[in-house]
Amino acid sequence: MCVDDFSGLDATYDHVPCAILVTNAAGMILRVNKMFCEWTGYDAAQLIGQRKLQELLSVGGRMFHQTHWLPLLEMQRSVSELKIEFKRPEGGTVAMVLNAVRHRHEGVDFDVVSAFVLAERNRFEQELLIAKRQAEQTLQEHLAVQHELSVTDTRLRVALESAQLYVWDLDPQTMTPRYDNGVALLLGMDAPLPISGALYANFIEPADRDLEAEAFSLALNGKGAEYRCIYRLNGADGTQRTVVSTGRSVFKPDGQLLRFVGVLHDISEVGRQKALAEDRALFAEQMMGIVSHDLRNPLQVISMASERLGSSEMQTKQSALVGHVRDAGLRAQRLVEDLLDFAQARVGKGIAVTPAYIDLHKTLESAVEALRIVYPKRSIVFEMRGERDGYVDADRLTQLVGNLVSNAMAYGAQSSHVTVSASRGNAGFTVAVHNCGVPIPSELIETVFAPMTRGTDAGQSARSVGLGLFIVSEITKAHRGQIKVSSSSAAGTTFTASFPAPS
Amino acid sequence: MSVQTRNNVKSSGSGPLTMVFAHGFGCDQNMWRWIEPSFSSGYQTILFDLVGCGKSDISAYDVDKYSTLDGYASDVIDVIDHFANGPVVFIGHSVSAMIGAIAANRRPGLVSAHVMIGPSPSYINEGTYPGGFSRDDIDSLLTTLENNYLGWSSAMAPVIMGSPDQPELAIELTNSFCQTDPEIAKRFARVTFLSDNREDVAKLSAPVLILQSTDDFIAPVPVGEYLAEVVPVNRLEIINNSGHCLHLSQPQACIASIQRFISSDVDR
Repeated sequence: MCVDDFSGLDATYDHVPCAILVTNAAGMILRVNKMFCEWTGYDAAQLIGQRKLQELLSVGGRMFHQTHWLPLLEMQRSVSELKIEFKRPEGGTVAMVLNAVRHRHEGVDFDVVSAFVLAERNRFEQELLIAKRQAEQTLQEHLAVQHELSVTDTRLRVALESAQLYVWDLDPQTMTPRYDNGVALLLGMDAPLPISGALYANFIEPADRDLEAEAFSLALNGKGAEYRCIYRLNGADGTQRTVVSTGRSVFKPDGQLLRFVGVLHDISEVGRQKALAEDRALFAEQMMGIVSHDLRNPLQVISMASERLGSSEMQTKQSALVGHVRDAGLRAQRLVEDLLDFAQARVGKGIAVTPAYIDLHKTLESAVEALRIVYPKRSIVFEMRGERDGYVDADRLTQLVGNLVSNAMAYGAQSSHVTVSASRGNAGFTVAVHNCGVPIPSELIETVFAPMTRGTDAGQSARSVGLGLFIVSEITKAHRGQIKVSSSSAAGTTFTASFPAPS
Repeated sequence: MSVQTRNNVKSSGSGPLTMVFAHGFGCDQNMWRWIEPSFSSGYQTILFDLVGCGKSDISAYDVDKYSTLDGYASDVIDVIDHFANGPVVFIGHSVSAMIGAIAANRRPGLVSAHVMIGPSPSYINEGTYPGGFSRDDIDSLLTTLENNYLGWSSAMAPVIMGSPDQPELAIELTNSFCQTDPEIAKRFARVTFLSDNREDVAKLSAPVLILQSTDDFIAPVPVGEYLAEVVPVNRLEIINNSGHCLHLSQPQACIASIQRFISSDVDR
């Protein structure tokens, strides 16, 4: 190689404001001008023939040199504007931007490199980099927030849609309402559309307009008062919808309206379902009432006729048959009464009671007396402790005792007697009906007061359809009382109804 | 998207073997222009760009997929599956030698022989392992890369400053060569220089030719010697050269070594 071919370069370029190096293809420094030595802090003698250019670079710079600079120079024989850091002999680095061209001279490759120091620009670039990184970070954060927002927004939209809620607000400048496009659906249109305040107002049922306007102006002027109004919308599709419109205004400290956000909720379906259910209940109640009532009359005729027949002279066999007819008639009458009460309790508004101060002893005694006639072959014991007066619906109390006794007759031991005991204290009074015999199975105790529940050993003619105990519990409930049952083979079965004293 | 578009695959020639050339960190398939033509007359040759480099489809760059060399290895498997007609000799420069090793281990029989030019299974010194760099050095490289970003596009697609003695270099070449999206280059550098593939190379079953430069700052001689010890079947050739790109600076020596390797070590 002929280094002297570049000897003129030293003299010419020593003082140009640009660093110039000449290296061989392996990077060995063959020539270097003063400017390069000044900027990097090396002596020319330390470099020429001693050091390869890449050995002056930082580790990162060397790797960059290997992976980018050399391939570029090999492939296209020139590189430009590479920014790279040189290590200074006394420590620290100096950043330079380099251009390099590969020349072939007499079959040998030389690289000519020019470089400029980038002190100021480097600082500027560092600042730019920092700013870029900050911007990227901010962007990332912004994107994350935006993503979260969109997720929340989607979730909210799904929730609003599934709840059939539509959002609207008030333009604080013009004080006109702005509606979600979905509101168009509420107005009976096929697809979501922008809806103006004026257009929306046209759909409000004329009869409801004043009401709505009043509620709205109250909310705006009433400083934070909540707006809530139910009105009807006459849809473009001919369907009338009922909506609940609610909203809240937020005011600035100076009293100016900041925003007003409202929600529309289509309750037509809710209202329709409720009305339907009420209709059905009413129909069932009426049906049962009518049937029960109409049955009462023929039953009364049967009872009265058999009563009359019983009083006339008759053969023993005939009079026994008439007795059966009378008993059956009475039982059917009781069933009809039960059914009426059930209808009232279940589909109506509950069993009606009219409590009054009565002579408990007298009422219960006559109830038991009447039951003794119904069950002539069985013994019914009546006992009472405490004061005689009580606050209760006398007819209902008689019915309650009747139901409990007939239950005891049906399920208790045939041989033992049934006891009706009453006790009057300060807190009210209790009436208990006890019978001996097989106890109520524990799995039935829980449901014994539910309607249509029957004991296990069916087969006796005295069974009802299972409404008796349900009506007992409804009667105590109507008196704000309680009904309890305890049953065991040792103690027998006791139903205890307690009636509180009037408050 | 087709594998062809994604990896800018170029297949030529035909023959008993398929030679797949994979470029390393920094540039693209043009790296092989002094080598590949010597083989396309007798073999099928396949050139391609790693996704994010050269003229690969940049829209295919998936940050997660390419956060490990495994993602690049999947692409290599695709390229071989779609284009290779015969037993494959995988010629990988630098990091691509490791990508080839991962792909070969994932699919036994995929690669019949490896040629590794300037390979390093791990760049960071660890215990007695002589990777050549400390973690700080690698961070310094990443910083250097980042600092070049402001002028990256101009630096990496430099104007032709004139090379009168090599007029065949086309403008098209200079415009794409080493041109990389700065963000991708930074990520690729991180994956390349922080990955540890020592276990992968120890599992290779196909014969391996290791081409090692006498003076390579990126993959020093002790790294080549380490590979010669741990790779089950290998042949280490140390070529007198300064620099990491043997195939650019010593193409004739590379061609001769590869031809010798093919004729003696590779089953057809």
